[in-house]
Amino acid sequence: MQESIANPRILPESNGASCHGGPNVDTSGLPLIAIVGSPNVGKSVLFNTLTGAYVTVSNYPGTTVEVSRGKGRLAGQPVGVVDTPGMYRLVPVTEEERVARDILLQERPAVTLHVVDAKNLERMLPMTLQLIEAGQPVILVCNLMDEAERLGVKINTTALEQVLGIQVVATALTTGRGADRLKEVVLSSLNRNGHSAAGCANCESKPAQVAVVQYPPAIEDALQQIETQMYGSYQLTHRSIALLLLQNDAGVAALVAAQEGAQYADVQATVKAAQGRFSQPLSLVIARYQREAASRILQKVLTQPVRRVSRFAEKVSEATMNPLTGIPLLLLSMYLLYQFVGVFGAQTLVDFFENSLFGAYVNPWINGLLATYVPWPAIRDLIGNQYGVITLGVRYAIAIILPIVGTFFLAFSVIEDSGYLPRLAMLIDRVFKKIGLNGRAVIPMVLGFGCDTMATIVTRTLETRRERVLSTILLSLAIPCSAQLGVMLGMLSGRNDLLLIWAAIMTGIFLLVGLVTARLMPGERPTFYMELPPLRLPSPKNVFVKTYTRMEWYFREVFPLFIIASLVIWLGRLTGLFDLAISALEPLVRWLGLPDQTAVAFLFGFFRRDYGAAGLYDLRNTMTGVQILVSTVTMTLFVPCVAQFSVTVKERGWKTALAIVVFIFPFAFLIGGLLNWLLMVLGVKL
Amino acid sequence: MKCGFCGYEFDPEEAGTACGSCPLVKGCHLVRCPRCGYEMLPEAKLIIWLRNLKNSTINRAGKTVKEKST
Repeated sequence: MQESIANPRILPESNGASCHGGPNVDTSGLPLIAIVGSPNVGKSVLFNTLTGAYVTVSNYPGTTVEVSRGKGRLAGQPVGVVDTPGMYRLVPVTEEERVARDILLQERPAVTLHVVDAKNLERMLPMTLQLIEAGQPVILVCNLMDEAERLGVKINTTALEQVLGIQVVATALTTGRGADRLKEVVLSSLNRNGHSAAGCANCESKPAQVAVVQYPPAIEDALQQIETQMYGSYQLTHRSIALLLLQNDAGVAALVAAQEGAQYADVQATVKAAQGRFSQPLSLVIARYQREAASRILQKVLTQPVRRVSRFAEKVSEATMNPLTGIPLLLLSMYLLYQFVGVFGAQTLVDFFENSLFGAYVNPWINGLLATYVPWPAIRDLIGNQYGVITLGVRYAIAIILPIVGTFFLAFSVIEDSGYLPRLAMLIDRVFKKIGLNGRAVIPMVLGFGCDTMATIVTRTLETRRERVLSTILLSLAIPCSAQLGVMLGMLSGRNDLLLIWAAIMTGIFLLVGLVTARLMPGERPTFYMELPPLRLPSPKNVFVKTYTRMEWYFREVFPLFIIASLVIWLGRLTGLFDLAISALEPLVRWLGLPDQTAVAFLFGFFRRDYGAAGLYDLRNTMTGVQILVSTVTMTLFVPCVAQFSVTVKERGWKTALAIVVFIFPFAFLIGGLLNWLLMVLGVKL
Repeated sequence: MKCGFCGYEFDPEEAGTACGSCPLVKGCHLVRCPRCGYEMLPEAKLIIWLRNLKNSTINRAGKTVKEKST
């Protein structure tokens, strides 16, 4: 993905007449103002302030990222304005950041407005430093000043201007505060630099070299050496290009390789030598120095209220991330989760809904009504009897899945609101690195326990293709969704031995497949850094809101799919296709040592894995311990549901999606069969 | 709204929705955290309605107190 700079397909359309070109809105010959910054800092408001009616929003060529462009006037002087997608740093990780960086590199803005949230200046100032280092004509816009002042934050903008050597404007753009001053500053900057509608005198000039961050001597030496080895002309300073090379920016590496030709080998050798002198990736080292530089600057110009952090909360927070204490705490959390979801939800609540409500009242009443008033057997089968929409679809959704996902959603909301999830990401980062993933991959993995379909979409936030494919495989294979996990816990409830064996097998397969795939797809080990929110006691109000919202989503999104699945099964039975599919699956379930009826559950599993799991749950009283274990392991590994498969096709392409299914289907039955055979040979009776 | 993963507070109106590319759940409108990419459901309509009701009740009570004091 990072090769986009060198990829001519993504370059914006240019008429060649001007240095400031862009698609749709013709800003030819006009000085270009680029608005950059993190999401949600008020970039769009500023864009609307600077532009008038001449605005278009379109995808950046070759991507699905939207970019807004427009024309405006500053004291009668026409200007072009581009609102770039959110970016946090100059080294891009996401596609949005890549597009934003490409705009800075390709379109040569006359002024770059870096919009920051004044409340979070410390977090955002490192990017200002990177833009200054890159030689961009930056003006810092400290927006949301009204909110910052309400929180007691004060910024001495004059002092900040002196330290940074750029102009700083304080604004609250939603109320219009500071907008006029900002326009004046932009205009004077354009005039000072010789940019006007009549011509852009400085567009072809090289960016000025500025060093605002002092890095350790080994990095400074490497930067100087690389700068002397480069002769090409770039839109960023040589120092900034060298910094990006040291951070393994593939896009910039391709650009430098193209510009420098044979000389690039020397640059590469210097980069490799510098990287070899540090045990940590240089992206982490450089980011740390930039953060420290920002903190030092802000000590002189920023006043903010003192935050009180409980020492106890700090100690617990550290304990959750230290492997020695973090792993026992993780196991304890999982045990409590099992007690609540697997025992209370899947046994007590399901027993009530399944037997006392549907078994005793709803199903007999529906079947009785159908027998009395509906003379057509096909319609009776559609609504009631063994596979009817109400007696099967609604019963599975309300009596089996709902109590289980309800308790799971409640427990998950408590965990989420406490701030434990990012700490889990930090704890697991070490294990994940071994299998070629980083802690960031914890996000889709955790989401996978909610819904594998949306988690597959989230894998696009991972840095490399290797990580994205690996995560998609692991999500499809070894991460059960919330409903499926709940039903699995229900299947194994009351049998701690089965639960432990199942958990051990799933963890083993997760690590084994991860390791093997990482070996088959060699690549660099990614780095991971994230800010931690405070650890706190969950707020009952937040937990209620999150649980209710998820339950509402369940009914709106998932419930209709159960009904549709029942309809498809009914149609399949009418046409005979259902029986045909079951006959095809029967030899497979016999090989697993399972009763023939379980073939129906596996067929359900093609529609939704939780639907299939509910089918197995329905049969669990007729199965032995070994059969429950084998069927649970096989169903957990079973092929992704229709929704997840279609999303995988969309995100990874047909080839990868089909390869994943072709691997998973036999693999699930192979593992199930081997487990059954092993238990049989060893004479284990569970 | 606040990200359930990294705690970042953002305006859901400005954050990208997540499920645009999912062919089977069109219109589920999951919200993606702009900082870490974690996906969440937007608050249920009932919760938003209750919050608006509470706010308007407080505003009305505030106005009544002001009118009385003048």
